[in-house]
Amino acid sequence: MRALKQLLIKDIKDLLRDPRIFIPFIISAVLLPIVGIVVVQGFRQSVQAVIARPIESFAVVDLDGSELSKFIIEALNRSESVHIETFKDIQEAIVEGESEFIVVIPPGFANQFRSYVNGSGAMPVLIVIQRVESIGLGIESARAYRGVEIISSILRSMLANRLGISKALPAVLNPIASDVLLYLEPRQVFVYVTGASATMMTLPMFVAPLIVAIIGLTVLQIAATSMALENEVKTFETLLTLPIPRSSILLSKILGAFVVGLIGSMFTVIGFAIYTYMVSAGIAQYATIITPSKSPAIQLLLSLGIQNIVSPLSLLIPKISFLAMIVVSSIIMVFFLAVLGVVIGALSSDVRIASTFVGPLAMPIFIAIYFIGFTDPLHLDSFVRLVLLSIPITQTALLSKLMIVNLWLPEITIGIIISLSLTLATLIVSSRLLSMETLARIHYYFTKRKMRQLR
Amino acid sequence: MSNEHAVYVDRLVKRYGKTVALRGISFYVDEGEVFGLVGPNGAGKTTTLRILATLLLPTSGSVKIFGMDIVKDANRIRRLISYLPEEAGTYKNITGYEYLSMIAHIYFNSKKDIEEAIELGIKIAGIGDRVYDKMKTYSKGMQRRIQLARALMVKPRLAILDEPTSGLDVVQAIEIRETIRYFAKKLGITIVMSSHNMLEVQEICDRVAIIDSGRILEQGFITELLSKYGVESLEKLFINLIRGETRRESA
Repeated sequence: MRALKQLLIKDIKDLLRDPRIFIPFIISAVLLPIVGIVVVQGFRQSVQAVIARPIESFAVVDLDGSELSKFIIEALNRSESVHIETFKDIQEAIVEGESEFIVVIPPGFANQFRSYVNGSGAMPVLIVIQRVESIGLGIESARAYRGVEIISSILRSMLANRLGISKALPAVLNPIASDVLLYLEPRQVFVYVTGASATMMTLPMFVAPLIVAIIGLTVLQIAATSMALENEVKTFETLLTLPIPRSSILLSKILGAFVVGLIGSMFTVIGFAIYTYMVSAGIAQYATIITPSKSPAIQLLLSLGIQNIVSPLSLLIPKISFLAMIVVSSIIMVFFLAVLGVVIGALSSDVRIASTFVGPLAMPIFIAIYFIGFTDPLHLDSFVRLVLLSIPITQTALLSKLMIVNLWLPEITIGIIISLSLTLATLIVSSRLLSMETLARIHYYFTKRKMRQLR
Repeated sequence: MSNEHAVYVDRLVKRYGKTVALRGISFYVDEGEVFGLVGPNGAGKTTTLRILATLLLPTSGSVKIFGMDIVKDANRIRRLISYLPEEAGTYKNITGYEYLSMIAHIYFNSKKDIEEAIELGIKIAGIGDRVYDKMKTYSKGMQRRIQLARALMVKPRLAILDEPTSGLDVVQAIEIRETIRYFAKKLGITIVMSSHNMLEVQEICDRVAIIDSGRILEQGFITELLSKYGVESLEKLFINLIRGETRRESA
């Protein structure tokens, strides 16, 4: 135990004082909130450019030349809020006009409108040309639709006046409203969800597995680098001749990477938490959040004595039992990857070779994590689900996703047992491997093969 | 027989697959002696020292350290020896002092022993206050001094030093050599070291074994060997033996 403590302290100090280890930790903690700021700023600017700014002017090209089209243009000209440019053809409007979009009244519009009003034709179509600087968010056409809405309301008022239903117009247009509540089966609760709160839900559901992957790879990289460095500078040879149990050498390496990996992960998690909060809050600004006091559905349920109504944010607070399982799973994962990293490092004669091994491992890990991020765990094949719940890294990722909806599956317990056994097996195999004799044999085998290939 | 020697190697063979690294070598080292294994690169020096240091297992033959079997009593032997690998580096981000302290805490229990060992380590290292700096700031010579201090400060009964001066400049090499000679005698440590620097071996070692292609070509006290072959330096003896061996092999 004394030797283990000494070696562990040495490993932790050596790792934590290494700028190559601690700088990436700090970067992840600082960079993610910066990414959050950039995302929110970009979103805000786009939204403001498209929605927040009022429609001040647009051009109209009247190719119909009908009474109706003239009526529309006169009505638009009377409006004080918008300025109208009128042109005879589209090319002229594009070249000479200054408005951001051009509404084209096509030939035959009035006839089509008349048929539509009489119930015998298709809905008449106005053509809109929107000027843009670039195509990005996919909401560029929103302003053009708002322009057309002005013309729609002119025509709507005209029809209502002619039919004598001006007062009833709002009821004609929107006879009813609805207030939708979700009932989350696994938790047996009602949830009030709006656009913004749905974003708050889906973001952590996707982000949580991603954080798991980043933490896992960090631990793997640290363990592999730390062990490979021992080989590179031959300190490992020295350690093996000290009067200490082999298990202490292995455990100190694993625990060192484990502790440093956890410290680093905390930085990542803090960074991600700030990022998630910023993005959610940024998006929430532009969406209406129904508060319980304003929601008729919630008012009704409350008046009927139904109390199990929760906000989507409260779903993010997991149940203690689930949280405990995630903690167990995370510890298994970090430990497993630390063992794997130590094995990779032991087999590598220097740090570069270790990185060459770790690099390709990142790809399948991220593919698995993306798969978990996008997939619905309930609709997975049960065998695939069991496999994902048995491999230490995919297990934690999938659990973190299931935790958000508090969806307990019977395979979880079996998966935890399998992953624990897998980790212990890896530990036993690696403790056998951690002798100079075995490593020398493996090293000799590969060198000889290389020599044969060179010949 | 083997109980009288600090190191007793009898017909030691080491094979990696079909390749034979050691072809049945035998030698002994008496307690308090400085013994040198001399040979070209790939001769089997490092393999021999790694077996003595309990890192590798013999394929056949026997190795005894202070009468204990290298395979059966590896754990007991590790308490008595210390090993300095060739071109040994250091942990970059801990200080020389922290490293020596870690080693002292591993070997000793009582506070007094630990403090004494650290004090001796600092003295052997001889790098002044730089011992409190991170080892990544050390020159190659300083790194080797710390490693040598680490190996000798625990007062092992046997120190196994693999090419202790390789990769160092002349001044650094001389300093390391002097340190080995001085502290080995002062602390009564038996030393087995390898080198391909004949001058160094002639200067430090009492007895040598000349090894090539996994075989010991000749061994004995340096002075006796020189007079036996009628040469004035170990270098010449070495060349004669190696060439003779090559001629025998080609014949």
